[in-house]
Amino acid sequence: MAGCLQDDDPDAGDDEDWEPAETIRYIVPYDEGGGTDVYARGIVESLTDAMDQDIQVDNVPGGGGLNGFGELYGSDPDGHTIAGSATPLEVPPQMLDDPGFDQRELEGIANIGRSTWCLIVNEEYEGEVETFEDVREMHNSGEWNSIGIQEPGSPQDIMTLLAKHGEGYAEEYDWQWEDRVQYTGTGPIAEAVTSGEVPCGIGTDAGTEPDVSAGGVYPVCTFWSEGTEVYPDIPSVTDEGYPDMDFISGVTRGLYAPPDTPDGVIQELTERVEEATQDERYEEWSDDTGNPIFYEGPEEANASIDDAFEEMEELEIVDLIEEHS
Amino acid sequence: MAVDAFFEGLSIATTPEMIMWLALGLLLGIVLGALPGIGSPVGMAIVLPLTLPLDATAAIILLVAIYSGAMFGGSIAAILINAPGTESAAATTLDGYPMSQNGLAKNALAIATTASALNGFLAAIALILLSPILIEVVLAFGSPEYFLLAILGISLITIVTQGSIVKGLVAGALGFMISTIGTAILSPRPRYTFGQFGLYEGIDFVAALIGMFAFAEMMKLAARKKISEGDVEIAGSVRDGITTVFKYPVTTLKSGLIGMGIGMVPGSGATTSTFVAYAEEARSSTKDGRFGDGDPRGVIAPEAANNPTVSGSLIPTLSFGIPGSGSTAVLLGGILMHGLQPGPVLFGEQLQITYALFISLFLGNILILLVGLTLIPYASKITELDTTLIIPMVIVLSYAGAYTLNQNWWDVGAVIALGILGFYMVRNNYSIIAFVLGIVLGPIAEENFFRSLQISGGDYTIFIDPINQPLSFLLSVAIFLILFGPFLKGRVERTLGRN
Repeated sequence: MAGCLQDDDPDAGDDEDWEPAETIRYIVPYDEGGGTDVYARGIVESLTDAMDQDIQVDNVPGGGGLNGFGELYGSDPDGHTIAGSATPLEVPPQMLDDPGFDQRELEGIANIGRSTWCLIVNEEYEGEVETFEDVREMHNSGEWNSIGIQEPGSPQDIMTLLAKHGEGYAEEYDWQWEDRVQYTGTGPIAEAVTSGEVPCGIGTDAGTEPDVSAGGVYPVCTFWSEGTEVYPDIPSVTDEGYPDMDFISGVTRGLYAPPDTPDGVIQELTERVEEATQDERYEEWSDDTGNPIFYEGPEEANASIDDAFEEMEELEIVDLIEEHS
Repeated sequence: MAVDAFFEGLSIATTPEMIMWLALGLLLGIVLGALPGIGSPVGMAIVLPLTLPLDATAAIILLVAIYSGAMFGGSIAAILINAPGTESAAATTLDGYPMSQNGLAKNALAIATTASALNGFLAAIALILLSPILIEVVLAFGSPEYFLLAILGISLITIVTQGSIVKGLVAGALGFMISTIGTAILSPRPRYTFGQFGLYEGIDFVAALIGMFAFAEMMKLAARKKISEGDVEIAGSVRDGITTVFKYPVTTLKSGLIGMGIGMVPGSGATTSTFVAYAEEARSSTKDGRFGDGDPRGVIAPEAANNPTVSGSLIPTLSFGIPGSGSTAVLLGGILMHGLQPGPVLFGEQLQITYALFISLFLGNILILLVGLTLIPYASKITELDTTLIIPMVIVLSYAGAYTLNQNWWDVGAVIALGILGFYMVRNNYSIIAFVLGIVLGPIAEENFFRSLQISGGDYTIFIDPINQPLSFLLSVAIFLILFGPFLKGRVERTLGRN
């Protein structure tokens, strides 16, 4: 059906004065309701006006985000199909199992927001456990055994592995957690910490916010070196003197086009995305939902994926996951 | 918080848009329910992918309205042509059709409408009152309890499926196995994907539902030579029918409680509750009953039980993600598809959506009463719709719906393959509900089993420790008794007999 919608104008795509000429398909490689979907639906109204075309948000979940990326990879590079990302979430799945394409060949359009990973603790420990150092002490002393994370290959998996086994990290962090209990997302992790099934867990800032507001859990620190707008009062692990893990501790909401999309088209798309990010409706949405927003151009969007691959290859993340997860 | 959420839910449910979806769903449900062989799971399964562009609350209200409408619609065909539109209306045929033959079709239809709507109305109020307590119950369930609850759901198949227990378990196990296709839930390894990227996410649960309910049911319907008994003239009095329900308040309320209670049990549904309510009424009225010959209480009992079953079955569906019936399995598919997560969130921060749903049920029953009573003189028209025309329409909608889900041709393949499998399962008396529950509960059981062992460090006593995990212990005992109780009972009786 998507093929039928493609424009067959031979000039489309390589003209410097390119303009969107038909409905734009915005692929979300995750389910409805997830962070990438939430960002897509947050910006879609402003983006529709900026593009002067309808935008059809299309969820293509599966394969750790690679199903949607595969769909984008095979689309015509004419500027009418774009995809959202949750970089670097899609990187480990490609490193663990070759999907038959390389996401580094996608053309970056922009980065439009970022979530960061935070450590949350059950309210029972408020006053006693206030910093990352305190959490580490609880695990190292044997008082706590477990921590809630997501599946092997997830950022939480990689961060906790690095802090215990990773070269260049383990020496500084020395985080001797015993059991890592796996959940399917930030929501279930926050629920498990609230109910006391695990004493602490790692979830995104915006994802844990409703549970923090409800009072069952509280945030202790963020793993993103620059802190988080959602919890401005909590320190980052780097503030506490630990090495930064920024290549894995933030989820960058990027927008990408298929490989070989002409520069003129990318330029036009990124300008319109920038216009949408400055729209007051998008800013209002950000204020209402607590999801941080900004604009970074194509270079930064390409660098987000490239840097994540580079760091993970250098740190031999695949070996680390296969050995310990 | 609950009061604020209630009023927010009330304002959501009473917007013109939501009332329109509610009315549309009810009408669609009544028509689909009245068509022999279609019924609520089929109707909901084909509508489910079409709800993708809707807002989550509107989609869920539409689906629940179809469910509720079909419960009532099913009884029209049951009473007029002795062919229940839904399985849950099968018990209504026992006395409803004889009443029609006795010239009391209008009375029977009015009894069905009034009993169904009245108790649906009361059950919706009960749900609204119960929800603040439900959140406490849900929060008491951790990973081991969720695992055991899923196993309990599968075990209950042995009780609720008519026919062979072994066949029920085999069907459930097959569903369980199908659910293991795709990337494992808590490890990044693909299973049974044969290198096909389209299978990495497994067989889409909604595609499986469409295949099992819509596609298989249409094949079954096409294979049937004669659909119904001859039509009957619609005679009798609507007013007398309505007053009859109020003449038997105990029957009405008792049947409603039976319906709601059975609806709450994971794995059971209105087919069970209506027969239990009928049987209980027949048992308690042996002195003056003319059951099977057109006793009005034989219509009141199943009809008073069916709509409360909808309300009851929403409890395990919304609070634990464990559906109580085929229809709630489809509803669960809709809830997940629209990004809502059953569990504490639906009774906490999203309580307004849950309330909006319950309030819609409440309003829906008022509409059923109004529409149902108005429709009675024309009811036979619905049953005259040519089923052979509907079959190709449902099949096309099934294909289109399955493709719409993920733009994945594997989903369309799954609809066809599971449709054929479902057809042969029905023909050989293997329970489709058991199979679907296997698919739904499989991942819940696997994920929570795995996680429970991560919490306990691999110690299996987490499932049976009466001191630290009393709820797990009770659930384990219940599973043991359900699975082995019948064998142990026979053995104990034989032993006692010998002594």
